Amino acid sequence: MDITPYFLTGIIIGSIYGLTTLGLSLIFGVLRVANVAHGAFIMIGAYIAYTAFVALAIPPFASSLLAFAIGIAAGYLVYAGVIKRLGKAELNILVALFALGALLAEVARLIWGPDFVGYRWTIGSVEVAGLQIELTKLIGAILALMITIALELVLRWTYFGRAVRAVVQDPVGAMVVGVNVDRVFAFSSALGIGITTLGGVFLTLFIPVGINPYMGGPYTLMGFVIAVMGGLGSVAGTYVAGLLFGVFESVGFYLFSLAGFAEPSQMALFLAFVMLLLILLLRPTGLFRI
Amino acid sequence: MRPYIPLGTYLLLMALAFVFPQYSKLIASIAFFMALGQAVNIFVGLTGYVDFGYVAFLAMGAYGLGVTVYYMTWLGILALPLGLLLGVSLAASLASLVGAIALRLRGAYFAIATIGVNEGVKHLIVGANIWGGGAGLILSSSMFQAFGRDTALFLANVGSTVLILATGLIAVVAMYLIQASKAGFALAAIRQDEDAAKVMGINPTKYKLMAFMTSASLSGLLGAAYFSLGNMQVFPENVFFVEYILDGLAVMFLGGAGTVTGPIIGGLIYFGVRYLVGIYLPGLQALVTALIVFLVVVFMPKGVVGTLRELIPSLRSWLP
Amino acid sequence: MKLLLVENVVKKFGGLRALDGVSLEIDRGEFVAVVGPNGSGKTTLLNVINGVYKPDEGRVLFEGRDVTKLPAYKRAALGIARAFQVPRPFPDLTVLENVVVGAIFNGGYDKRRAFEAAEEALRYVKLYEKRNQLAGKLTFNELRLLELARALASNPKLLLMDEVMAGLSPTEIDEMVRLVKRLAEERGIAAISLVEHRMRAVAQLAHRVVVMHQGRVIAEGPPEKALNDPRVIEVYLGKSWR
Repeated sequence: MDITPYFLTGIIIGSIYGLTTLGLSLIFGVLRVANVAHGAFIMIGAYIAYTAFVALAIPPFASSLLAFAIGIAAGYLVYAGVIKRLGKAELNILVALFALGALLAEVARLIWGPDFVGYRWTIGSVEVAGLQIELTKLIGAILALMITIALELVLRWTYFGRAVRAVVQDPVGAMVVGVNVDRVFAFSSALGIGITTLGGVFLTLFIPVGINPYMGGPYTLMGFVIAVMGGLGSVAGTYVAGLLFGVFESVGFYLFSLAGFAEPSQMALFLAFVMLLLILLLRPTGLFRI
Repeated sequence: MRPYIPLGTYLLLMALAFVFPQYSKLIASIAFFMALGQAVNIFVGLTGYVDFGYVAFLAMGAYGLGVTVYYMTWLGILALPLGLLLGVSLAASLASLVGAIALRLRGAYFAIATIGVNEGVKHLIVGANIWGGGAGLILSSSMFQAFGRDTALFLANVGSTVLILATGLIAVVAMYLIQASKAGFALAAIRQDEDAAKVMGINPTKYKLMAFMTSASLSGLLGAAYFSLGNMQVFPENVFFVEYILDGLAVMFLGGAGTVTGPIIGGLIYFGVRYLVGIYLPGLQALVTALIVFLVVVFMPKGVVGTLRELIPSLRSWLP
Repeated sequence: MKLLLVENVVKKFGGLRALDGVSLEIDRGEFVAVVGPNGSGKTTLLNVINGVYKPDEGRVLFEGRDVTKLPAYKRAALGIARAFQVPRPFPDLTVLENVVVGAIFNGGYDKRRAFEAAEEALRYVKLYEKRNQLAGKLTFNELRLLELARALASNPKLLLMDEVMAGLSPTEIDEMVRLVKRLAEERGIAAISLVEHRMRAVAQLAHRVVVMHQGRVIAEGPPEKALNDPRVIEVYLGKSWR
């Protein structure tokens, strides 16, 4: 029983999971808002990649820039139209975002139809440790790592980044020392959802026939498992948690199918949900501190 | 408070379902929204917490009755009360399990924790292939066998409608009892400022759990009445359909969160809108549902009853 | 038997000893002012007494019972009430309902008795006329009175007051202090009040003054004696405290 290939596959998809979760984690860390529409923005990114590739022959690494821009605009609107407007009414914000996610799914169904779609983009493959890995996936995973590093650098070294970290640690204190908290919130919401739609583009490299208006739900759940595991608001923690989740899912699938479960992928998702509950209960600040 | 409007509405609809059995299914679809909003309201409206995995409680109720009728057909007519009891117990047990863990968490963390409950339980049933697995349970032949053909058809038609309405009625009474007791004060305090409530000697987890379990039990009853009894089948894709929590929230927020009459008025409006959309814009019901919830929550958070009460304060006792 | 006994309490936050071996005794019906500059450990002491913090060392006894490990809401039920510096009413409940909540849960009254106790408490603090207003609409001074009424209606034996006088005008302070003293004398409720600002005005009216500095009690006794202690003057030197 050799699990090395499952481990490798897990690391590669895990890199994408990490990327798609950065925005969720950033928004929670800065605004203290659980973006329950998260999966819907991944779905939007996926459809942008699909349309760009199929209708316009634009490869996903190029269309991800378009998705990023659209996500930034959407993120700003979400902040100005919902989060800022509702202010302290946490229940209303949560329900409004949940409804927004459902609304986006329905709009996507109007535009792209209810069926599963996808595309296949191949530029060759390489062999790593006896496993054939498609180049597109490998490049996607490496780019995801680089984007994560870039975000970490932005948060660490730019004025905006310092302001964000100040707000994460102490919103009132940050306001007192002259940080424009409102602008930090708007930036973070825009950037967070921008990264999420961008991540949705990358994800399509891994799900050749998995794009669907309702694909968001499981990714929202998964996003929260990963974000909570990594510590909400921590970039590096989130990425590492994404890797872990990828490995866990891939190896877990293998073990569940060995154990003879009828639907091993469903069992893996069930365990993800149990993990979420346990982590929230035992270590609500994340599994590790980075 | 004068409970005549909510109680009267449910009793009137029950009478109509008996007198005009041909319209029973229509009444059932209106009543389903009302009762769902009513049950959701007892938790979400009273505590200010939101559970996105709420649909699992409907499913537990449906499975409770479904499994009893399907696997214990020999119980005969007794399968109905025992199955309802099992359904309610399953829903309450799931609520106590989820609640004991997640209700220790505050606000958004609770919502995050519940987001996977519905899918999680569904994945367990389908993945582990229990209770019919992905194929579900088809109950009609078991029900014919257990209850006799005519009784089974009557129960599926009029019986389920009356039971759905009874769920709404019980929810109204439960809401009234909670608000008239000290739990009502505790929940109002928790909803407005949980930290201050703690200092006032209130144990928040206890009262939130109480509201959560009451709400879940009622949804269990509703799920059993609507799916298992009314449709004579339990399909995981059906009973775990995430849309139902949006329906419940739409009805509750439309009518007015935390009010007793709200879900009745909200349910009527919501049914009306969906009905018209079904005729003029077929296929867009789900879109309209999401849009309604979004718009109401953002632009009219007090709902119809809440807004009316604010405009005409004397309505307060008539529209509890 | 003393009502409250605090024995050698130590509370550390990281390397900081916020309370460094504090002992305190309170009798029934006694009004004690705890004074000290910002950061002297006053608020931490209150938090240890009502159970928000557990001390690292030492014990807290209430009516002879060791309550050191009891959570805050259970101590509240024993009769330790707290009025916060920044009042936190439930804004969408009426003034009366706000007080009823305290009477039901901290006071252990049933609903009918709770309403009676709440009305009485509101009369006591002269807020009865506003009982049907929403608490969110009160002025700052009225909120302080509401906070006091809430604590009162819970039938406390010991009333812990954060800096409740801060931000009030001299006349309002005078009224508030008289109110608390009347409580102590008429109902035998003991009170501990933290005082940082306008120290002399408040402390002079107390039965006893406890002066804290850097987590320790540096002087204790009747107001005139404690406030004129050389160590106290040294701590406050350079501050406009007269």
